[in-house]
Amino acid sequence: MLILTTPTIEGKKIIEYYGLVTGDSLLGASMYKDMFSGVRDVVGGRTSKYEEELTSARNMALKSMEEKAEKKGANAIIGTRVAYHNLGGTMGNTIMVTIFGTAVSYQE
Amino acid sequence: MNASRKNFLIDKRWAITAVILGFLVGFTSAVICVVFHLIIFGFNIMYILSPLSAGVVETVIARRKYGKSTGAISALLTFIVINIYGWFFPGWFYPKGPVTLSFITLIAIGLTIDAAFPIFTRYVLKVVVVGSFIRFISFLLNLPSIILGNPPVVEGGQIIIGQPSDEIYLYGLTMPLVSVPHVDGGEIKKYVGLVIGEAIVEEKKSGGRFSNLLKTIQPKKLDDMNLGEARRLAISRMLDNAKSMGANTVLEVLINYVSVGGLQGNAFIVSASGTAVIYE
Repeated sequence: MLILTTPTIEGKKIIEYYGLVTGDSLLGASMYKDMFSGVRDVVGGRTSKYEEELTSARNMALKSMEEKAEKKGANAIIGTRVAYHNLGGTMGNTIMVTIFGTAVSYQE
Repeated sequence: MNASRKNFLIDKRWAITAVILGFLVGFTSAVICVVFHLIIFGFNIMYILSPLSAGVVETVIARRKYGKSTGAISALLTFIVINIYGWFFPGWFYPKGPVTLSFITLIAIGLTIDAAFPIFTRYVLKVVVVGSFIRFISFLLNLPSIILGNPPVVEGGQIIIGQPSDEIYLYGLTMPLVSVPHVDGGEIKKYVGLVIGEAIVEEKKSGGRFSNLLKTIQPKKLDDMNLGEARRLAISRMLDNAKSMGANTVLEVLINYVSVGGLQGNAFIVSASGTAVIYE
């Protein structure tokens, strides 16, 4: 599955548009608590638990979007956008990762 | 003129009924309280009970029949009547001692004012009280330097330019990263796919307890955040992802900032996303 942020695929012809596909995932508040209780070396340390968790949440959203596109019979998603939203709270936050794009099929 | 006044009355008839009924209920409960000497903790419970019951009756009727709340006007009216009676005409209606200023009376006054003017009390609580508290704390913190004769330098409204740490890093690339979907003068050999890089930057925690306390009330400075470093990290992670997939540059790079955090501290998620391509 080809996932692009560009609106077109250069040199290839898009034969069918299947429409919008989305994928979301939530990142819970307990992780956030860990972040401020123990993990201090946030910047600079790739091993930070919170960043790993963020990456896995994003991959989950990506996967669910991909599955939806596959179900529609697409072989590419174009115009993809990734957004992170803070769902609020004072002591701990829930973070929502949303990914959306247009499912298309193009001539290989 | 007459017709429009009639229409107005017909429109508002349930609102007016609700206010009058609420006032009657509040007044009746006050009379009952006075006649039967319902005194708890040396304090007649009508000061709390009557405005509250008036407000409840009025709001319930207004919600049911009028469609929206009428703002507990009858609670305020009841409150005013009761207090005028209690403070200025004790024993006029029934033998009874004058009301005294106590903690419970103050709470009752606060409750009723809150019921009558919710927005006003929220403003007082959130803006006036918090604001004066902040002023007071910063005055206390600055007091030593004022006494010593060198008042603190007050910064404000000036734009501080952050260190362009990511820009220096990006100049060294053989293929530039671009934020547009199409680059002229070359050819995209192969699309590799979406690449994302994230970094979390926490607010710097330096100094003692007092400067941390000050930070919660002062406007943020760019220096507090180390945003340039986080952006550089996010971009380099995105680039690492792209290189590991065999791409040599990234098109349509977008950078996003999301604030996370609460009372315990502030943090930012910086994310960079783009399309990795092999470009020639």
